[in-house]
Amino acid sequence: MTEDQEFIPTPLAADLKGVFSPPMEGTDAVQKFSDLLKALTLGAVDVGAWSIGHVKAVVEAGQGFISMSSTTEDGNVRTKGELSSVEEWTMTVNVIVFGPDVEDLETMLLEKVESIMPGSKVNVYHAEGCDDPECFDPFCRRPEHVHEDDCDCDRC
Amino acid sequence: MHFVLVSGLLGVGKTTVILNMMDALYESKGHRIMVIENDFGNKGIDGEVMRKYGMDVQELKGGCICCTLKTGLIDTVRVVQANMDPDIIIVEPTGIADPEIIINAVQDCSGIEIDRLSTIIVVDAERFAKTWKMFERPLKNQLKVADIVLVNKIDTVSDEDLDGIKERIKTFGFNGPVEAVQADKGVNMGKLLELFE
Repeated sequence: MTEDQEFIPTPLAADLKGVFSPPMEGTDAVQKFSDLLKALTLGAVDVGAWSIGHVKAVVEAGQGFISMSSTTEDGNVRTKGELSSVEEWTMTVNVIVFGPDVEDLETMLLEKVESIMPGSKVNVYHAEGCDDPECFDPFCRRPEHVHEDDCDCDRC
Repeated sequence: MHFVLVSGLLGVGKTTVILNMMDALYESKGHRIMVIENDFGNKGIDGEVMRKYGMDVQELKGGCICCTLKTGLIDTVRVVQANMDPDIIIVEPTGIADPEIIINAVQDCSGIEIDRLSTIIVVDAERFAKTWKMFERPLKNQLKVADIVLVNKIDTVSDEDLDGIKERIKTFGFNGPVEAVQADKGVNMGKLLELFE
């Protein structure tokens, strides 16, 4: 990894689950999921992203599957795959951007989900970075890096 | 075993390149291929996408394979080679990985037999003008070890812009082949397959 701290992005991941009642036509559903991904990209810019690394998602509904990707500040979304009529669905989102605090990113994500997919269940996943100043891996979870010898946290 | 590293900054289309490449390699040459994914993020989306398209994928999560997961990568390559003996292992690191560190790690490691090593660097035509300024150093690090550079998403730029991108890549010291591709549609991907002949 590059040794330059400024090149380390802020990541946030989330699992979403929901139900469209009544079921939604596949093309309409794809548009709705695409709208959410676009909103997340634009929202990331609003909370301080100076560059979009990658905002991406996969959606599963019944036998259908789509993957979506957004990499530019205008929120343009590229979609691959198709959905037929959608009732129950799951969506996994990965937001990786440069600039914002992860807390602001999470608040934004929860707001956008509630606005575009009201009532869906959301689980947000944070990276557990380590405290070792020599370690530049934002996803490092090696125990000897995450915790000091005298750490008195619950996990230790 | 042919060890293929497909590297590039975040969102350049590495996964799409691999998906397209694997289809062609499997269908035309019948190679046994294994992909090792190191997605940036807590949820491994790229690995999930590849599985949906029928690929054999091993995922390494919870770190970057050029840093804290370097040992994990080496162990995974060893296990995959011993148990599955694929013709090709394709590794997709995170968009912030330094490919040179990965190459050195697998080359210096005993217990991994690599007959051939290729490094494919993917750059994003749509964002190149912005990213080369912002990420000049990581980009130069990637180009330093490239065997071939793919300028992806060429549908988003003019021919003139594309020429400018190729010129910039040369000024960064890369004098090997630079191919302009649109990986999601399989445009111009043939040259890449010559790496596997």
